[in-house]
Parts: sequence; structure tokens; C-alpha cells
Amino acid sequence: MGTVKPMRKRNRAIAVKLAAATGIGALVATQAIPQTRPSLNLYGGTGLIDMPSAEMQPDGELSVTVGAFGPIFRSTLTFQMAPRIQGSFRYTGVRGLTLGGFGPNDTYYDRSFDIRIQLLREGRYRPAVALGLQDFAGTGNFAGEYLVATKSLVPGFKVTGGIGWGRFGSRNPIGSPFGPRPGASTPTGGNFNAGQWFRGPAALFGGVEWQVNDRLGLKAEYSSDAYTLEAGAQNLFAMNSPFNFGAEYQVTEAIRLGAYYLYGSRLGISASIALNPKTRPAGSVGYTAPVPIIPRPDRGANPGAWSPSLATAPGAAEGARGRLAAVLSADGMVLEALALDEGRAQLRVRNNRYDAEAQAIGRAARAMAAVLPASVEVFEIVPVVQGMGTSRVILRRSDLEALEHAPDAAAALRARVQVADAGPMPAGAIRGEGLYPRFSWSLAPYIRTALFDPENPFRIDVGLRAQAAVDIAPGLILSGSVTQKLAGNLDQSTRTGNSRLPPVRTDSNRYDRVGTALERLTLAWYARPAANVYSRVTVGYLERMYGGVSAEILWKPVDRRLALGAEVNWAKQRDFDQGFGFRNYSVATGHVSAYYDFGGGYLGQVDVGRYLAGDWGATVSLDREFANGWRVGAFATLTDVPFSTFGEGSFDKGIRLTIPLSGVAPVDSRLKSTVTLRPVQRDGGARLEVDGRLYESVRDYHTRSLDTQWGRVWR
Amino acid sequence: MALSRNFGLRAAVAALAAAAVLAGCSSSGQGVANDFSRIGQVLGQKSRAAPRTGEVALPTRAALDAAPAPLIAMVVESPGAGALLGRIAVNRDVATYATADGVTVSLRDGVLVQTRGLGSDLMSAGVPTAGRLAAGGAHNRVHHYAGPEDRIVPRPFDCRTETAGGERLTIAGLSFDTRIVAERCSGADGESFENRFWFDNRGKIRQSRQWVGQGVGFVRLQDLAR
Repeated sequence: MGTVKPMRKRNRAIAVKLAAATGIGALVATQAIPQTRPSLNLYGGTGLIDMPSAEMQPDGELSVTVGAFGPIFRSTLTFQMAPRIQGSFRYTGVRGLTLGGFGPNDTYYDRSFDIRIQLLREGRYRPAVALGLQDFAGTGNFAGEYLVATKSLVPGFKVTGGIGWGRFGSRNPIGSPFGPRPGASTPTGGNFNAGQWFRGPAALFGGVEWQVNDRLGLKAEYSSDAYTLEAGAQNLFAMNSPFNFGAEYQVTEAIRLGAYYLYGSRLGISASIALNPKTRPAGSVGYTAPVPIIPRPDRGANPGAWSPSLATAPGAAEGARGRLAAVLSADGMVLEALALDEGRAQLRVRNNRYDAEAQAIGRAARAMAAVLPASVEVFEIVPVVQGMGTSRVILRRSDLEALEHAPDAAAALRARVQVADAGPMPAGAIRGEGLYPRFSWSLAPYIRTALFDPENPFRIDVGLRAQAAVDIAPGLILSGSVTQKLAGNLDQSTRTGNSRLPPVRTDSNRYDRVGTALERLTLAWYARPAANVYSRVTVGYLERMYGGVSAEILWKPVDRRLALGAEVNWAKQRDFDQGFGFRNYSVATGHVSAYYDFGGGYLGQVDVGRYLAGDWGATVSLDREFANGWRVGAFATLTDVPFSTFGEGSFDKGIRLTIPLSGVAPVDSRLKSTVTLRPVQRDGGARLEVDGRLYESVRDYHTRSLDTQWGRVWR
Repeated sequence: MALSRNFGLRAAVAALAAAAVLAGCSSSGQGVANDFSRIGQVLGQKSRAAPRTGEVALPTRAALDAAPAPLIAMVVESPGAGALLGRIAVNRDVATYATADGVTVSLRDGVLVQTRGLGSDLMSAGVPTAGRLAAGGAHNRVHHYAGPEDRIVPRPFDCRTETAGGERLTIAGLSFDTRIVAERCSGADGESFENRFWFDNRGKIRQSRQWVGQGVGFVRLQDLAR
């Protein structure tokens, strides 16, 4: 990856800029006053103590809550997916619970998903009303459904009341309005237990919440969860009272702590940390002002400056290329090619710095205005990713000059800018100097985790990763990475696969037992075979577990919501020793994919094809991407593998979270990190991991993506 | 923010200076930008002597007269950081001034229209002309900021100006009789501020205190040109 080395250089500049920005950072920090947003309960969803409420978090809010009382602890990731839809993923532990193969001396662990939908918003007289499904696709041990209403009576004082089923219907039920509750639908768990929802005994719950001031909140509730299994059958704690009481303290805008007295017998605590990806958490400090637009001299007063020969004379393009490359490099951008004629210039440029692609476009345009001869009126900026032109942003220089200081300059400029397919490189374009071949490298720490193994739910390795890349020619990249483990306990996983499928993923822990690993070594070739079409071929050691050949093609017009792609791979499983050798298992795998941009940051994807274990099926994904690069999504895969053969979890599913460095620190950077959380990793519905898949590589510079952060074009 | 102290940010200086120098090369006749490399040096030397109180130590009048481009002094009130800024570009009626560490402000006849590099910047603005301010009366203003999700958020204000006394100003050895114009603005959501402009008897804004926005607060500006 040619981007590696420039980023290393960037870090120094970031450090310097950070030092410079501390004064303003302090200023911004003092302005952060705690806001009173609806509080979370011990399940990590909006609610009271153990009971839910009908409120929602602010749209986009992401929170992590750790709550514990008695033998029970829960850690929950909650995401406000849309203004009225909230989802949670939870990991629950119950000390001493005898269930599902866990004995009285173990801690029982389980994963669960919740979803909450607000049916009615709070009105002047009308309460907010929400419908919730808790643990709707797990083992069902923590499952419960509810319909709940919440009303603010006076500022800071709220009353909540609801009716619950499942867990929430276990104390003093008022009857079973929708009939008896059947058992969970699938013995392997993980399937939607729709037959159970709202069935069986129903009970009433309720409570009050008083936000005393900005920081202190008090809560009291009547819980309809009798903890029939934990407190009743297995006597893990004493159930003396249905009433719970608590106090919560908002430490900062992000952090809230709580202490509780539950069920007349146990103390509980909670801590939640929340952030909203809609805002730039670090206050977006720490960038350097752009070069102002340098206007051209008046034509009448200085006709010499407007002479076309300044653009067309021999050597003019080479001279402009050198000056432009120098200005761009100060902004972390690399001049890939320049085509210059009398009235028009096309700049092909790599952006290694700005996470907001519109900002990179703006900076490139400013550089062109500062450098190019006056006769050049039309600027074409083609952002290049992996050697491929991804789009062509066409601006008029006189618009830049006229609008730089106009009110709402960003919208005014957007109205005059066109975005088109990149098209072929113009005849007569000259390449940047010293780009091919070019060697780059980096050395950075890495973290690898293994979650949810009942023997040890959190295992982690830390080490160093060395990466190197050679840009051989435009789009032709040889790259690889080697990791050296420094410390960790991933190698202690002795879990052996019990899979009834080829163990394409379940033996991944056997790859964790070596200190030095060849992680990846590939030769990749990216190209633009036709308008709106992108292609990739990757050969080599593609990922930790597989090597082989991967070929992909993508059709994606710059301004359409829909994109279509196809990928075929032949993959062979690598040796456990992470060297150059292979095992016997090999498979032809591949998918056809449809991608759809619903707008508002919601991205959908459907992949249909053959998976690593040779199973056939389809994956459906839905992601929400924020302008600053934060991304939260969920996916599920159904294949022709029966649930009983798949094993625990029944089918592959999970959630994923992408965090951009620029979203957590006040820096300009394109670095981002993605975490995928699966309740359980099995062998059905598993996909090959290949670096540089096309859709995510090229989408950033297309119309819809540029438009979401166009506000940064003048920045 | 260390407007006054961190002149050692060579990278940032180099970026702006390089751009400016190169601009001079390509569009011959635009000497303004060309001078910025030397302004960088001037700013650096003078900044070194600046006290940390938030006031800017001004160069001598002789040094200012010899400076290769017009200078202004700016203090960001809240952190109390001050700096000298040199003019690096003039686009139509707006002049852009830069510090050595990559902060710019753009002024139309002394009225702030943009900032960059301060964090919660004034991205763009619809503001009254200096003449309108001097004339007094009611007008509208709109400030545009980068809001959540990188959207540009407009904040409209209703404003009134009136004379708020006079003052004899001395700036770097030059004295001016000025009339102080107070511009009181209030927005729909309760945000309000009062800008002040010191007009000399030729109608030029010599000094001002202007609102950037809720993140940055007020800046104080002094025009150091003759």
C-alpha cells in the first residue's frame, strides 16, 4: 500500500499541530457541559434500572454500558440506528448458573440482541410509546418483550409504565392475552424465536426517574422480572422485594455512573460511555488552514500572464507538475498525473490525508488555482485509489475565485461543480515523478482479540506488524505484512472444532500459536476496463488462513444508488504455522453482489454465492455510515447448511463497527479500524477476507459520498 | 493555540509559504503572495518576543513600514493567545491574513468573513459592509459553521449598530481619532454578541472586537498598516 509511508510522516506533523492546538483544545473542553439525555438501564438500553422505558437516545448515539448486580453482569453495545429504532448487542455472564452445559462452579455466558422501536413520540399530553424485543435471536434465556410508555410530567421528572412478556412477565402475571409461550424454536439457538414473542404470561412494571440537576439522577422502579431461574430455582440471590432504587451521576457529557439497590438484597453498579458519531468528538481542532485562492491578475492589466503559451510551451507542463506536486505534498497529497492544455487541466491525485474526501478536492483545487497559468479555466480533479481514477470533479476556476468568500460558499460551489466518471487519462498527460516503482513500509503495533470463549471470554494478543509495499506500476502493487507477537494469551485457546462442516474458520485459534507470522503477501492489479467499471485481481497469501487467487469486477456509476459486482476466488487453506505452506483443503468460492445506497448514510448489500465451506447462500448487510467515517452495521448469512449442522447460533450473523482515527482524535487522517462482533464464529456462511475490495475502495469519491461531507470543501 | 509562540511550525509555514511563492512564479504580477516567505520570517522573529499574556508585542513602526506585506495583530480572547498575521492573498475585496502556524482570517474592509485553523471556524458569512456598519441602523447577518455530520449550519442574526463613543487610539506609533461603532446581534436560539469597530476619520476600521462563534469566542484585531 503506497499510502503507508506518507502516513508515518504525517504523524509527526500531527504531533506538532496537536501541541499547537492545546490552547484551543482546552477552550473547547471547557464548553462541554453535561447534557441530560435519556438514561440507560442495567441492560444498556434506554430505561430505568432493570426495566426499559419508552424513550430513545439521540439519533446515531453509540453507547457501551457495563452493569452488574449480585451474580449477574452485562456489557452492552447500544446503537440508535434511526431516530425511532434502537438496537443492542449484549454479553451476559451469570456466576453459578447451571444451564446449557455450564455447571454451578462456572460462569454462564450468553450473547443476545435486542431491538426497540418507538411507536409514538412524546407529545404535550401523549406519552412516548415503545415496543421492545429483548434477546430475540439468542438462546432465549434472557428473552422478554414489552410495550412501554413514558411521560415527562415536569421538567426532569418522568413516569414510565409498561406490560411485559417473557422475563418481563414473570412476576404477578395478569394472564396470557396471546396464549401460552412455546419453547425456543431452535435447539442450536441464534434463530429468531418469533413464535415466543408476546406469548405467555404478561405482567405490569413501572417506575419514576427524577433528574435532580445536570449531573444527578434518581430512579425507582417496580420490576416485573421475578428472576424465576436465577433467584427462584437456583437461589443465586435472594428475591426479597420487587422494588429497585438507584442514583446516577453524569461525570462528563459522555460518562454516566450509577449505583443501585436491587430486589431488596443486592447492590448494583453501572457505567456507561456514550458518544455520537454525528459530531466530531474531538471538536475538529488541529488542522492547518488551506492555501487561499490566489486570484488571477486582471486580464487587461496583465495580458502576459494570460498568454496561452504559459500552458502550452515545451516544458510548461513539467514545470507546473513540479510546483503543483510541492503544494499538494504539503497537504499530504500525491500528484499522480497532470494533463495541461490552454484552457483545461486534469490533475490525478492521491489523497493520503483527509478523511473528508470533499476537503481533499477543495485543497487540490486551491493548489491548482495557486499554481496553474491564468489561461487554464477548467479544473478536473481525478482522485486516484490503487491506481484507479475513481471520479472526475470538474470545477471552473472563476467560480473558485468568485465564491471563496461568498455566504454559504460550500453550497454555492456545489451548485456549479460536476462529478463524472473518471474516464481514461487524457492524451498528453504526464505522470508524477518518482512514483513507479516506489517502495514504502511501516511498522506499527497491532492488537488481536478472541471474544466470547466461555473458558475465557476475552483473550488478546499484542505485537508488532511490519508492512511493506512496492508500487510497481499504476494499479500494480506488491504488498505484504509480517506480525510478531510480543505478549498475549490467544495461544491458550484449546477449543477444538466440533464442526460437521470443513473447519474453514473454527480452527482459527490454531493459527494463533506462532510468534512470527506471515500475515499477507499479495500481488494485486487494479484497473478500469471500461467506463463505470472497476476490476481487481489479487494473487498470493490473501489472509491469515487462506491463499489463492481472487478476481473481482464492479460496475458503479458515480451518481447512481445501485452498484453491481462479482467476485470469484480459488482459495487453499494455509498451514497452521503461518509460513508459506498449505493444507489440503481448497475451495472455489465467490459471490455476485448488489450494493444500494438508500440515502441518509444507510447502505445495503446483498451477496449471493458460494462460501468457504462450499455452502451456497446469501448475505444481507445493512450499515449506517456517518459523514465523518463512523460506521455501524449488521449482517446475516443464510446458506444451505441446516441449522443443526451449522451448530451453535444456527446461522452466521454479527455486527460491525468502523472507527476512523479522525473521529476520536483531532487529526486529519484516513486511518480507520473495523471491529466485527459475531456471537459465535462457525464454518457456515464464512467468506474469504481479501484486502482492497472494490466497492469500498472507490465509493468514497462518488457523488453521494462527496455530498455528505461537502461542507468541508472549503476547509 | 499558541498563536504567538509556536512559530516553529515549519511545516505549516512551509506549506503556506511554498504555495504563495509558487503562485508568484506562475501568475507573474501577483507580488502579494510572493512576499509571504519573507513575512514568515518577520512573524517568527517578532513572535519570539511576544509575551504570553494574550497581548501581541508589536514591532516598531520602522519594522512595520519595512515589512514586505501589510500586517495585522490578532488576539483570541478566551485562551488569550495573540499573534501577528501577514497578508497572503487578496481576492477581490477580501484580504486573507495568516499566522506562521497555519491560522488564517479573511477580512472584507476589516469585517471578518472567514477563519480557518481555529477549530470551530467561521466557515463563511454574510456580513454588512464597513460602510453599512458606519452608517448605523438595522441589518441582518448570517454565519455559517461546520455542524454535525459535516453539514454547513447557517446561524442568522438580527443586528443593530450605533455609535458608542470615541477614542484616541495609538497603534504602533500612529495615533488615530476613532469613533466606536457597536453592533449588537441576536440569533433565533438566544445566541447574542456585540461586535465593536473603531473607525478612523477616513472611515477605515483600525481596530475591532468581533465574534467568531460559540467555539472560538471573540477575536480582537488591529490593523498595523499606515
